[in-house]
Amino acid sequence: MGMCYFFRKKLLDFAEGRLPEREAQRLASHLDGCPVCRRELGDIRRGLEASGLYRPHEEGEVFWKKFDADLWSKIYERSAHRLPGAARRFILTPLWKPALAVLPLLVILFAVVMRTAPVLQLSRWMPESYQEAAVVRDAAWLVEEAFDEQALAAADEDITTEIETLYLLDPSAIQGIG
Amino acid sequence: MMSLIDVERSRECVRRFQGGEKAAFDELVQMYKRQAYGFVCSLIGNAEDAADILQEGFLRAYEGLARFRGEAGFKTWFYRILINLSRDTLRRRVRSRRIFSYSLDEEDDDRAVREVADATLRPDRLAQEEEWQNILRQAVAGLPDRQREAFSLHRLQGLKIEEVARVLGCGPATVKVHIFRAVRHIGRIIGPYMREC
Repeated sequence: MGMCYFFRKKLLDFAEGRLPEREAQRLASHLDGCPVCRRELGDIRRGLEASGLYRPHEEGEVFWKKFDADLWSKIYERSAHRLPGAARRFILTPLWKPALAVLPLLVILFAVVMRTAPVLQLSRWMPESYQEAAVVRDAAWLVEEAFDEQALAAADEDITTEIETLYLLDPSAIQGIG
Repeated sequence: MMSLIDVERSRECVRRFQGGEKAAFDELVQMYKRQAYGFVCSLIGNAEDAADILQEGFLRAYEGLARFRGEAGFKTWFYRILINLSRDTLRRRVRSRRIFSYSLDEEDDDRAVREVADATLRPDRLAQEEEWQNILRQAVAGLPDRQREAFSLHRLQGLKIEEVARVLGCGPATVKVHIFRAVRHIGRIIGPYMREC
């Protein structure tokens, strides 16, 4: 009885005739003296026999025609609701993960460049035509700024003169304004 | 059961589909639908749900076939989809209706035998083939999920132990144990009817 555990494992192979002859003989001699294993073997044989008699569900042609039609209409329906291939690939492809990892590095790099740009005088590395264009642009900007300042100063001067004139004509009006 | 020619044909269909020929999928559907339908029926014991599961399975296969790398055969891959869908359906069914809640562990086998036998033992009608098939289907439906899947794939669909192991994602030894228990359980349930017959 103590060997039942080991023999039971082989009952299915034995029932199906897949056990090597020597092992089959050993199991058969065990079965002679073990009613529990014999009963177990009986259950297995009946189970095998029953599974051989099992008849799978079958359907007629009408069912399968409807099935095919339904299936393809569902396939088309789902395909229509899906994103176009390129968009889907873009969204589904896990590009955002490496991009997210690189982003802080890019930020740091940008900060470093901004800090060191005046020191390194990066404009030196520009082609000459670019340098000339930059000088012209800077000069134009400076001239424009100078004109603006001059205009502002002139306007201020005009206003002061007007106020002085008004004061001389009617001092009370200016005092009223404060 | 699939022959080598069928396996090669399905591989060819997959290649054509991946090459852009969508019509090749229809060939796969025609090749597998009947067999797969029987398989799903044996898993969930309900023809109406089986048709829905099969359709959903084919839909998922259609959507995923472009990414299918062919390490396992199409059938193995497709059956895994069907098993997952069947498990979901059974889980929903158990949650919503709370039926078929046998606990068929080792020690509960005898109780299950008694329950099924008491519920449906009608010797006068056993001669009828349909009734017999119903009892058999009921016995298969009463198996725990893993045992039913392994039994169905191996005994009813004719897959080899290694293929079953690949579909179920476990080792061949585990599959053998599941099949052993399933066959024994069915033998115990069917036993009284066989003696009656």
